[in-house]
Amino acid sequence: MKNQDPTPLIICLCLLLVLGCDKNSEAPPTPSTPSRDLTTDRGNIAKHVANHFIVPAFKDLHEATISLNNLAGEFVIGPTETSLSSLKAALKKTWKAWQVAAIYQMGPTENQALRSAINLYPADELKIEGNISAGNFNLGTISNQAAEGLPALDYMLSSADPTVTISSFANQGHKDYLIALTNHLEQLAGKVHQDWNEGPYLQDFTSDQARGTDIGSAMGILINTMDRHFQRFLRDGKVAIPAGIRSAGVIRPLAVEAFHGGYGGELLSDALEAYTMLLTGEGLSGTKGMSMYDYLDNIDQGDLKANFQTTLQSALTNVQELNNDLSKQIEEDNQAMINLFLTLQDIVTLIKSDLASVVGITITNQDNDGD
Amino acid sequence: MKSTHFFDRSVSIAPLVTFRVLFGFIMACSVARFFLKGWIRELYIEPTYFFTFSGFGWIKPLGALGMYALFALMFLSAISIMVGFRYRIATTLFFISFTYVELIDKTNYLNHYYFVSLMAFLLIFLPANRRFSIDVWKRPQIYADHVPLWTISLIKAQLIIVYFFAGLAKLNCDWMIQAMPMKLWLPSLTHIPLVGSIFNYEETAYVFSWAGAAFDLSIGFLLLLPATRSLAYFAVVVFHTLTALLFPIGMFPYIMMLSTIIFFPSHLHEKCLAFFQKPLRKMPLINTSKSKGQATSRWVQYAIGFYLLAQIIIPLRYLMYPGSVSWSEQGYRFSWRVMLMEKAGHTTFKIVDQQGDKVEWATNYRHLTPQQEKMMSTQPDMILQFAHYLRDYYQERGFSKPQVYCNSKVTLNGRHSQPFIDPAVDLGDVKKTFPPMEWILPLEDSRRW
Repeated sequence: MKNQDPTPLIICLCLLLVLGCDKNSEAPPTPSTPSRDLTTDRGNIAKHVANHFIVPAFKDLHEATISLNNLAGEFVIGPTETSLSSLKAALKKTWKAWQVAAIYQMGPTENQALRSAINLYPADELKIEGNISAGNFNLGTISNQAAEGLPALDYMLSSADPTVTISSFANQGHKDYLIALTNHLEQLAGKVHQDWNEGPYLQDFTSDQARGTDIGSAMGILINTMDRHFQRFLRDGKVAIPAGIRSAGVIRPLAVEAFHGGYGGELLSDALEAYTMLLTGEGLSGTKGMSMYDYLDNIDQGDLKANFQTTLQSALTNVQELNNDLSKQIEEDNQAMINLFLTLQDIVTLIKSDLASVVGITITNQDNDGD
Repeated sequence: MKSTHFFDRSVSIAPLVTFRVLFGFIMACSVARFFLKGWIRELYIEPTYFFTFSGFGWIKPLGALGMYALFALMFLSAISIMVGFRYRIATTLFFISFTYVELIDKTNYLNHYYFVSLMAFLLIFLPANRRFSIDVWKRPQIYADHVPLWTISLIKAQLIIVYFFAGLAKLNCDWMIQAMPMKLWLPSLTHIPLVGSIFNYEETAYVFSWAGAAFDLSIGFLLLLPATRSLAYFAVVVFHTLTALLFPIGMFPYIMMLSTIIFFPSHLHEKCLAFFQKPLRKMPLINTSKSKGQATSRWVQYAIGFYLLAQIIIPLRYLMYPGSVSWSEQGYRFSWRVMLMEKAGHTTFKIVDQQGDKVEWATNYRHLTPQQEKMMSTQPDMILQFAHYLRDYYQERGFSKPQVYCNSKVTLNGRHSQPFIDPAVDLGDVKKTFPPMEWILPLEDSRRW
């Protein structure tokens, strides 16, 4: 074979190449984009997200819990309709602040297991009553996760008739439990806020070494947490589970977020808004910085950006058309929830499949070999 | 005894012996690494569901103790192969334990694991322990300084097949014309010190794609020719070092760098063995050398022919199926299709009972690990397997004759995500058959983001 003419082989290989092309493949791409510096881009996204999303989000949350705790103190001293309504307003404000912070399930947030302490719903009302009458409970334990946090406060404060709520606080046990709940929240949110500010996590997150796209990189962490939070807590927790999509079509209106307060729709809208802002880079303080969308533009993926924008917008429109009291919405017209679920599925596809793919991120929690 | 017949010729055993030692060594390293990374627990103990290979459904993970024991056995047999102790038993045990683990879950399939299984299988039949081994030390009568030529040629042929088919698979539009997936992967490497900035340019993706294809297609043959061998081996080292640094492909580059040493002429291997043998002088290495010019049985010749034919047919079986092999993955595994795809998907299942009054969307993450879900989402045979699992799962939970419909969107090499599986087909009712699978939708939309 040494001295054979290699031409037939070359022809065969070329033929294979031609046969392997899909027929409707478009023209070869335009030559290279000139001066892009993707490392810097990724580093800037990490810095912007750290300084203008994560840190202010947990600062807002912490401040909201401080005010919640103070107002709870005032309320138990003098339970009136006025003090109750300011307390409920503080509760709502905290809940809204959580929607923004909730995306960042990593580092300090995960270490303190903040999510399960702050927003595991539906609340276990029997457990709460049991704790109150026992007067002896230990917040922050796994067994009490469904008896603490915002859903527990929602249950205690939001009877349909405010006078019923107020009269229930004649009981010292109720007062003690309320204060214990808000105190615990303030401490926990304070600890997480402090860890974000002082701990080494954000330094690593914004370091030069984290500017790649591997498992431990800032982009890798960010897109993975966006994907996970969206699927499990936004799509499933807020929509799919109460709408019966995960329970053989049997609706579970009691399982909506803020069931008693009746503003689950607003929280859902805030959660979607938080994603939109993260993607556009409009920071919480109003500062615009390097964003995922800018990055998509820089790698010539403007189409994907446009697709994100329209899909997120249509999900937001869907949500705004819903009854703010999601349990009523589910009981009256669950089809709207199912339609919303399908739109949210499209957003999952965009994050998990397209965004991850074009940025070069693997959606996984472990490092793996590939081939 | 001089004969021109290929199967009657014999050569120095040295290249086979160094191959055995290096293979045993790198396998022991691989197994240790697997253990240290915590993968035994993550991949074989923690999951509750496993994607078995068709026909191997009886292969089950062995529980925590069993899996650790199996890996311990694998490690010890790799060491035994390296030192040549109870060689035939060691290679058999290594082949069985390694292959058993690979057959537990398709999720973890990698071409280089398949390569290892093949090599281990071949080594069972090759007399690689007849020199420089504990077996020879204990039973000097088995010493041989020559082995049939085909033993070494078989390994070389296997290596050439791996490279050549890997190259052939790269001759497609995505790889050559679009420089995909390199164009997606390289920009994520711009932070690498010194060379990182070159990955900002699209041209780099083309250089990598074309050079990669040229390397894979030619390297096996260039290693074979004496004139080009040294340069070719240098290229092997550069190429695999580069891929090891740039891409998360584990032990594969090191395995190939060590395996291809077998292409060097025997006198270099002799020198190498002699060097290591010096301190081991006490070993009585009597040259009884009876094995010279041993005739090879006709049945062995047939077996080798059959093996090589299979190695050529298997990677080409995709030609029997319609559509793009990267998209439908019919005939994708066991074909040396490496680095070819950036593929990701989002696949969910809607379960409807017979009367249509119960509808539920399955929660994938309650059943699968993130890695399993990721792999299942883009591979039709795994989608079907999981659909059957869901059918049975929901049947147990009170659904009567559950139908399983799949909503699946997949992106391949930067194309827009597009429907992958026919959403109108009840996958619960589709029999597990060989391809072609008609319920895979064709890759139509070739717009890229």
